[in-house]
Amino acid sequence: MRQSTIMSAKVAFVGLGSLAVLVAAAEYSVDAGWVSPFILAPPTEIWSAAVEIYKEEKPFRALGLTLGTTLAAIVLAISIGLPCGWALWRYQTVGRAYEGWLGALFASPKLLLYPLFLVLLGRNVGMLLIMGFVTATIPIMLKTREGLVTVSPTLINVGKAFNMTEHQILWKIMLPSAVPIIFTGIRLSMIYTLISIVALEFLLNFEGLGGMVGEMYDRYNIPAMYAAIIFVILMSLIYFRIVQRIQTWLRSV
Amino acid sequence: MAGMLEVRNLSKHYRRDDGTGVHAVDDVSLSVAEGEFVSVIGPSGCGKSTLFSVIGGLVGDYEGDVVVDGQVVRGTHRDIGMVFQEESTFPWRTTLENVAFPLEVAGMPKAEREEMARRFVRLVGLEGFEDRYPSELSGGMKQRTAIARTLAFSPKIMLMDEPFGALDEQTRMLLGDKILQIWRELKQTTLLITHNITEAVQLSDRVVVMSFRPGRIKEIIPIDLPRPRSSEIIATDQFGRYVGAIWQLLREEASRGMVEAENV
Ligand SMILES: Nc1ncnc2c1ncn2[C@@H]1O[C@H](COP(=O)(O)OP(=O)(O)OP(=O)(O)O)[C@@H](O)[C@H]1O
Ligand SMILES: [Mg+2]
Repeated sequence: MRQSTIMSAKVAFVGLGSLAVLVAAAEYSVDAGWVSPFILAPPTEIWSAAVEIYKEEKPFRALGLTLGTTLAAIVLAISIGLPCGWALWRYQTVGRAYEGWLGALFASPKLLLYPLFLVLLGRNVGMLLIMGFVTATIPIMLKTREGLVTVSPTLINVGKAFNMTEHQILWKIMLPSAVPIIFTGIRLSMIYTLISIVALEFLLNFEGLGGMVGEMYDRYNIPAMYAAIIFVILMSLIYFRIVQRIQTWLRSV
Repeated sequence: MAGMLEVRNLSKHYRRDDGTGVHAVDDVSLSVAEGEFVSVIGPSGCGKSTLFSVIGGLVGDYEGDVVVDGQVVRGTHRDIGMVFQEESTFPWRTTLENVAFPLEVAGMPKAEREEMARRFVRLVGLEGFEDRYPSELSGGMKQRTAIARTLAFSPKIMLMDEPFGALDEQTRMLLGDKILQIWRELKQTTLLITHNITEAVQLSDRVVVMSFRPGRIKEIIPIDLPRPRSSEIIATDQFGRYVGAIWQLLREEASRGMVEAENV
């Protein structure tokens, strides 16, 4: 116990220490005229810009919008992706036929399709939601199928030997056994969806965190842009932390 | 005496996609009386697990009949409980939740099923480990959990497929004592599949020796050792004679199996 506390104190010291050095170096290099203030804003100016943004732009409102859209997309993706993943497992031919395609689709930058969605749906929250949903569903579908396919045949035989129906075996044996893999899919989708929604907001200059960064960018307000970006990064860190927490918590239930 | 479990002229061929096939079990007939303890022993690959799966109703498409309590059965049956050769505990459930599983499926209220499950946990000697997950248990403890779970299903017939196959000799013998103690208490008809001669003699009323592929019954040997037994019995001369006799029968089969394995 004691040793691990000492260890984590050391880790924190190294991490924060190098951050402080980096901040000081940034400040000094702009002051000394080594780096143009149009490329790198001095941290002190970023800080005052951050205070400005906090007063005028209401960053937490932007955060709320982005997170709200992301979570809505994910809830939608889970409610549709889980049954689809089940169907991919249940109807083997379909599953095998689609797996490769879905895998390729998962790896491809679907963000590039945004002009199409823009034309179809217009520049609104609905469009962000649908694109976020498309991004989020694929990993959930694929991982649900993978989770069900890899259930140990012996565990299924245990269910049969207890005279369980196919339905009971699915709910009481296959799904619980697949939960860790399915949750990997949900975690992946939570991460990719947040990224694509922020990127879309930025591209479309549409509110939210991405919109906020884009706005500062358009105003050529370099310190404010950095402040906004740092805010987005901090919020993503907290978000990923929470996602991880949920996963470990779910596994213990 | 009519058998509680009867197998009549059972044969099973596995067909592979490439057209070849395996004749796993050939014309096996066997009758196990109510409350009897019978072991089936044979070399690896002789069709023991196949016989187990056919009797348990997990494998179809066979010739012959499986008869439980006078009725021909197809498919799984309420009176048959199975303990598997492979790891079969549910990793997301604690020992107690694993054991209570068949009761939960049957819709028994929580308090009631937990109380009942506790009894079976105690019976297999796992008290104190009720709240542990399988990942925190040893191999022998996991198999005992699986046995308790099947006992909680309260089948009239216990089928066990090498439940201690992966365990070391000492643990295996001690668990053999446990099995005997449970069997004395519950008086279930038991069919144990094993490749371990000592285990077969230590536990059984009769030992069925199987030949290498296709799996046929080579001989059935009644074990006339006094009951109640414990693992101490292995020190006696009589025990040694049974082991020797079974080894004589098996040696030829086992070496045939080895030759075939080398030629594959
Ligand atoms: N599902 C299957 N499809 C095709 N062949 C099978 C199948 N299951 C078993 N076999 C074959 O049937 C034969 C008997 O297998 P089985 O598992 O019943 O043997 P076993 O006596 O239980 O062996 P072990 O002692 O190693 O567990 C083997 O040759 C095996 O390859
Ligand atoms: Mg086997």
